[in-house]
Amino acid sequence: MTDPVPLSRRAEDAFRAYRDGDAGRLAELVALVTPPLWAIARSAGLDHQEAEDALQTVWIALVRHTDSVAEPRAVFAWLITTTRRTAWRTARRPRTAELADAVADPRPGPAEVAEASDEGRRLWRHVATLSPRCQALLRVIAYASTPDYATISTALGMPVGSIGPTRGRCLAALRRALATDPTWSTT
Amino acid sequence: MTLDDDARLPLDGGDTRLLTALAEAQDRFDAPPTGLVERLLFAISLDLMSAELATLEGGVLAGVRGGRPMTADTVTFTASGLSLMLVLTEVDGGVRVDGWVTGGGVTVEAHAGPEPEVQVSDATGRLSWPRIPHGPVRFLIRPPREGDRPVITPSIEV
Repeated sequence: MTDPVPLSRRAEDAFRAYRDGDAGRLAELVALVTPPLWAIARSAGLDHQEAEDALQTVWIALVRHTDSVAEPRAVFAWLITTTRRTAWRTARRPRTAELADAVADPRPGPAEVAEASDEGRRLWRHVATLSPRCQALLRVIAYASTPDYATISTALGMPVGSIGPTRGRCLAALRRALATDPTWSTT
Repeated sequence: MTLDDDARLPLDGGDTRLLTALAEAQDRFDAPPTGLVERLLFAISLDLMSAELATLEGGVLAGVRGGRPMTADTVTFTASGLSLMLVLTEVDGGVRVDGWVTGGGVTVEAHAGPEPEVQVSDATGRLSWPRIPHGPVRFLIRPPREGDRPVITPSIEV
């Protein structure tokens, strides 16, 4: 949240160096952007293995088609968009039974649920009630910083207005959900 | 206040605190799995070097279901130009792996953790790993001849 250098900018630097021949910088890019991409895949309702497969597809597509990313500046948005498309394609694929409720399932383990009767757990449950698109947006933003918001929204298919960083409908929806929860402290 | 008004408000301190709490909850309940970045980097490197995927031979195939790693005491992998046979023996805290690969002086990497464990076959093709931790492992056979493709095995559970 408070990182002085936006995530999109750090991704750009690493990708430009990789494209210009510094092969080692690819590892930096993968380590940097994989957590938000994981959040997107999971928000689409993919289980662990599906999410991992989706991310593998995305990263391999990037190294195979490095030149298709027109500008290093666009690599962060390209990765988000490609992950969203890959994950949502997998999620739409007919699977055995459980897809319908899989979309909003954060799937914490039973032990975690048992010991986490606290604010973090309650917040996570409210996040899980949001649309997959809003879950993805808020989860990615939580890894990024303010200058990245517009890029992230647009790459997730939710273009924002031109009036600077506003709360947006996803954060507004989460705040409304929390406001109706008597156990949630707003302070 | 309507939905739209609510969404158009500028970000305030409450929003920032909420996103920070969300980041913490995400780390706790659905962080990327351990080793994910390493596995992705390995998959990328396999793709970049156009590795050939070896196939599992023989009866042990019956134990493989739905792409999941499997358990076996002896496994043989074959590829177009070579084969790799492995005998697995339980040792303290892991598995000893004795292998034979087609040819001497062949470099084989066992990928079980973040760092591969590298062995080179002797003149008779023999090589061994004294202890590999339990869990999924796959083997990367470096091409013995310049210009050949490396060979990667499917993942097995040891």
